[in-house]
Amino acid sequence: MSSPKGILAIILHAHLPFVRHPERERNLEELWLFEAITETYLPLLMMFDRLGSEQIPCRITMSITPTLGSMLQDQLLQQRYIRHLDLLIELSEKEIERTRFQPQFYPLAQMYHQHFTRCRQLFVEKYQCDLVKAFAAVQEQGLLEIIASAATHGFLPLMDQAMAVDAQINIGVNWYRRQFHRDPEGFWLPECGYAPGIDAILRKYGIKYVILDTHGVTYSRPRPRYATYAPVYSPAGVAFFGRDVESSKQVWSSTEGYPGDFNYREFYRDIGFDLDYDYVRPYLYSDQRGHTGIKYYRITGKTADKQPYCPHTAREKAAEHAGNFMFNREKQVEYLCQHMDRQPVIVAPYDAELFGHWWFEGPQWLEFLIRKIAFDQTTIKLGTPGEYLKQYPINQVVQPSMSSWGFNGYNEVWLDECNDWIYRHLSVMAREMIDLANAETDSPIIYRALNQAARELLLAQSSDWAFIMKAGTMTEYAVYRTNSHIQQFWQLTKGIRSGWIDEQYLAQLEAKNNIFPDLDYRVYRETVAARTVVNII
Amino acid sequence: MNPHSALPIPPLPSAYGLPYLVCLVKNVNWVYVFWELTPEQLQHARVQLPSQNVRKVLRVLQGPIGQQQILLDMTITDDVGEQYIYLPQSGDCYQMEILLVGETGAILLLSSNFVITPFGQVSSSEDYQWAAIEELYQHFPTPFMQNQASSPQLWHISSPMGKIPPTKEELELEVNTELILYGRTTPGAVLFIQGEAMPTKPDGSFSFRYALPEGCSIFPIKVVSRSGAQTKTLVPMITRETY
Repeated sequence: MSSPKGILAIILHAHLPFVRHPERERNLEELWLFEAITETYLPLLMMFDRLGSEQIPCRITMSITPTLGSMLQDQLLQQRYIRHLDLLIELSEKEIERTRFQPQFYPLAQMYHQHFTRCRQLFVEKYQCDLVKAFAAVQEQGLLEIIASAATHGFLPLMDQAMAVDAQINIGVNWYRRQFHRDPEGFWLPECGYAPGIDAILRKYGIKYVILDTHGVTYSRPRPRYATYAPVYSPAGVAFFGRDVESSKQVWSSTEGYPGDFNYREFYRDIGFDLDYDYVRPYLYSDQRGHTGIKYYRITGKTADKQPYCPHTAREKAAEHAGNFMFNREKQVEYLCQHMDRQPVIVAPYDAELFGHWWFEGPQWLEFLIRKIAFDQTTIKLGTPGEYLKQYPINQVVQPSMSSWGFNGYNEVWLDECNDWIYRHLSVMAREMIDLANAETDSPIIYRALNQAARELLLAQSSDWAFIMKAGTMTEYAVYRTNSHIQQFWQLTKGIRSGWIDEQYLAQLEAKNNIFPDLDYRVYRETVAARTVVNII
Repeated sequence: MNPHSALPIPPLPSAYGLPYLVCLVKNVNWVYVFWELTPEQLQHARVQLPSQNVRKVLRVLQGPIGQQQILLDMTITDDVGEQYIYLPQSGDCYQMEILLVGETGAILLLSSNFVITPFGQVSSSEDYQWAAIEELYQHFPTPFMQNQASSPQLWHISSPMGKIPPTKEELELEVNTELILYGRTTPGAVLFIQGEAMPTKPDGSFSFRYALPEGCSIFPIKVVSRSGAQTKTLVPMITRETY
């Protein structure tokens, strides 16, 4: 068998913000997590399970952010997810009955019932409710390389305090070590957000590589020899891989992307919107109509007249698209090989939740692709950035460009007239946290309050809130979350400064915002090295 | 009030009583600057600058540390303020300052962090040991996927795929019908609907909900007594006709 001419590095970024609300039994935001488990994380685990048992070569890179991982390991949310699945199973049973005389929908109702039942069995019995551990096992099997990410998905280029960046990275890397019992090779920069100077902090925590959007690498100074088809080193010695334009476009593009094929399942036609309100109401997460996860139609076309979904046809289309994607990568690699003196690497990062949640057939497409790459060609091989670096440890040193993978490529999604007001508060909070961290305390309750203040700061920094404000959806929730964390932070620090802590208030916050239970606020303690970096960022 | 709490969220502080001046990069040509000047700071500066005509100035410095030049001065009035500033030269180093300027001199009140704006284009500088391969740059018609939902976090935004655009002024009407078959039989009797055994409640009652398609639908309902000795059949016939 001839050796491959190039490497395809598929990177899945799995992330949700911390949306745990113990104060209410059913929360619309927690549904984001439950949908992602049912539609993305469990289908991906099923895929890895099949590939592993059949010993099919597979190397995928995946980030699991600490906010997502913490929720996946939270017992309250695990129990709520089981109740959620029980309700879905009940609804799908009703649907099997209701559609008995609708041959176009009856098999679909059965399909959903089987899927929900299978999810429950896997979640409870096979994975013992802990999907982080399940993904860790896939990593141990050698199918997956899991990379670290920032503590709460803070958008690092908009943090003016180097210690705030440092703490996000430090906590994220330590969370990774605790979960996966190894040091992370790679790090997912939230939103692919990079500014010069961040690489020095990444290096401090042993990070070997990150992924940037295309222009983060191609706009480097000096110009990179291999464009995005090989990594570059930053001055601090971190490798930067650039997103490949072509492979991204084939999946992400709203006009040309595979997920828009008319045979694929239509996301927006859900029985939560279509059926009698009283019938679906027990399965909804708010007083308004919403998604249940049971959807019977295909995209059909740019029309409101949707046709019934046919899983068989959609599956065939997913196989066809996987073949097309592979063919294009082969041609791309063959072209690149003519000009390069080493194997090119094609870096294809995607939101993990695209696969299954938004693009229902996404996991099928991915599995077809992995199988086809293993059996149907010899030009490309799946690999991870970490492996590529081991193969090619000598790379050009450049200064990568500030960049993100948001609209227009820089920071304007997260810094806009609709969300700029948050940065004044975040900046002053970070200064206060650093100042408080530089002092010692012997008081156990002050120590707890300092740790909780750090949690509130971290949660306020999540890039998700600014993003939601910009997107204009669920804005009220994003403002609520931002304001709450800011308020709670100042309430705590006021107590810390005065030396009197309201223990009941503190305990309530610890119970609600319980992320990073082992957090030590002294991660914000300023070091000489960090002060040096301040001038770079 | 907010949907997640019984308590209203108190308003955030409009000022913190701390001095700061922060500059954040928005994109290639724009930065966002916000600041807070404390009354003590201003009072102290005014003592040093006893001029009648003093004004606060936001100064933009351009260039690396040690080689900075004044790019522009703008008068500001707010002690707690914000400003978006257009910077014509991309890929350069900037720092902001706020000064109290009088007829006899100026007092520096605040200095911001340093920022480097992105270049926004492929560099013309080359590392000759790593000379760029031109052919590899031919496939970048746009530097990044402008106007695409290339950002992640699709879970809370509109899917980029195939969302139906709202049709203008189109009056919508969609009608569906469902049938609820309900009734009662002797407890313990076995119920069949269209030949399929169906569960009944302990008191013998039953209720089933079906989507009712267009046309004539027949529902043979049969019960068999617990002993199997007795049977009874009823056949409702329902017609749906939509005009």
